[in-house]
Amino acid sequence: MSIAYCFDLDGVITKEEILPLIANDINFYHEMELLTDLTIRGEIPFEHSFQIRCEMLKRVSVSRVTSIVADVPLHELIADFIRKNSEFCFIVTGNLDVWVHEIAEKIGVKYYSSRGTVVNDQLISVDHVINKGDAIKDLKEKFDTIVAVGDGMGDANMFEESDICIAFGAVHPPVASLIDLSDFVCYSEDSLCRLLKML
Amino acid sequence: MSPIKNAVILAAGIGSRLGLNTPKCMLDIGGVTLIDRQLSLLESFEDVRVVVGFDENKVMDHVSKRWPNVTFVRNPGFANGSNFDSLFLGTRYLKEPVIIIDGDLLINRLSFDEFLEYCNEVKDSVIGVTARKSEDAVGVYIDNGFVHSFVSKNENNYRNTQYEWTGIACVKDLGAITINKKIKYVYQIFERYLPLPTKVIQCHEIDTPFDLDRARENIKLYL
Repeated sequence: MSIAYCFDLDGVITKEEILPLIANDINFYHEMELLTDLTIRGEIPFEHSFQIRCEMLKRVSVSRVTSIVADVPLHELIADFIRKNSEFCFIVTGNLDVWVHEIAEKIGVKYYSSRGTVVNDQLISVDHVINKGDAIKDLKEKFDTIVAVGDGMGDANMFEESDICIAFGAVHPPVASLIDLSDFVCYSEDSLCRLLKML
Repeated sequence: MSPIKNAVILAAGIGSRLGLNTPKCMLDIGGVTLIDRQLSLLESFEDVRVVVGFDENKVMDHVSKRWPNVTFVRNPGFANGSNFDSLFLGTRYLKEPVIIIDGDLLINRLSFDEFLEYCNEVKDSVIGVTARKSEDAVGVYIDNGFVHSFVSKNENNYRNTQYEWTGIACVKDLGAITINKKIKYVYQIFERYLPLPTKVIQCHEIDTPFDLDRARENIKLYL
């Protein structure tokens, strides 16, 4: 029986939300943090909020973004689990491919993400905002069981399509509506990785 | 034999007989909640799970702040199911021996440690028993350190039983925990394996307001 482990990126693999860190470069950290927080909690729909946030961050060159993202601290135990099981692990993130591909490469894992177009080191457009549920449906064609790990409302679609759902609360408490869709709730990377190894 | 390192606390129930608007595991006894008392007995365990249901967010908020390494298992059907459902969900995917504990018990630490020591010495599952004291207890017939049968209240020889099932056990064979229409209560999973070794644990079930008052008065026994 084959299992695929799907991880949200921000707040699950990374110890901090990525967009506020990028916004810090242009002194918009608190505003971005607020928008991101409202989105995680489901008070603003993801797709709309993401478009707005990307619009704000277009001013930061893509190469500068990738260097900021490369330095984002990771939950090392989770990253380690992914490295050791890379054939069966996937990042499923609402974030843009052009911004996050280096983290995925660093960990050595495939990913599903939103997509953008870059011209001359500038983000020109957000072409596709991911529906995480579609990513899971794609994986279901190749794997028998899907395990999903998430923390915010953006992961609800992913949880609805997955077999075993784990809400993760190490960075911030998991959103209540996501907990309602979960089988397990873990608040540390230790307990999460122990559980993943048992599945 | 390597020491047992997994534990599951069943804390999903409503505790309707207490008539308090709080899950039983969150009852304050001597300034500390029942669940915190139980988790402090399990500090040496590598993996501790708490099955939650009634008022789950309150329980998870409280416990996760003090015990961030606890894994919560959700039992959303807690109102319609039985304790066995919590046990089944709580032990899913476990492959090693596990200590199971009912979430409404006040347990004496020394007594619990002795129980654990015994569980680590014997090969079989171990059933925790205590002197019969609860209103709705499941009696046990013991002979020579082994439980030979569980005796429910409506059976004839119930009044002859001196001990009752505690809701604490060590399950060595996880295959015992499989869904079966006949199984509604946790102790029933042991019936086909009897006789099984047993050890007395000093503990108190908190089911009724009387139990709660008595526990608060006798708290020193359980420190």
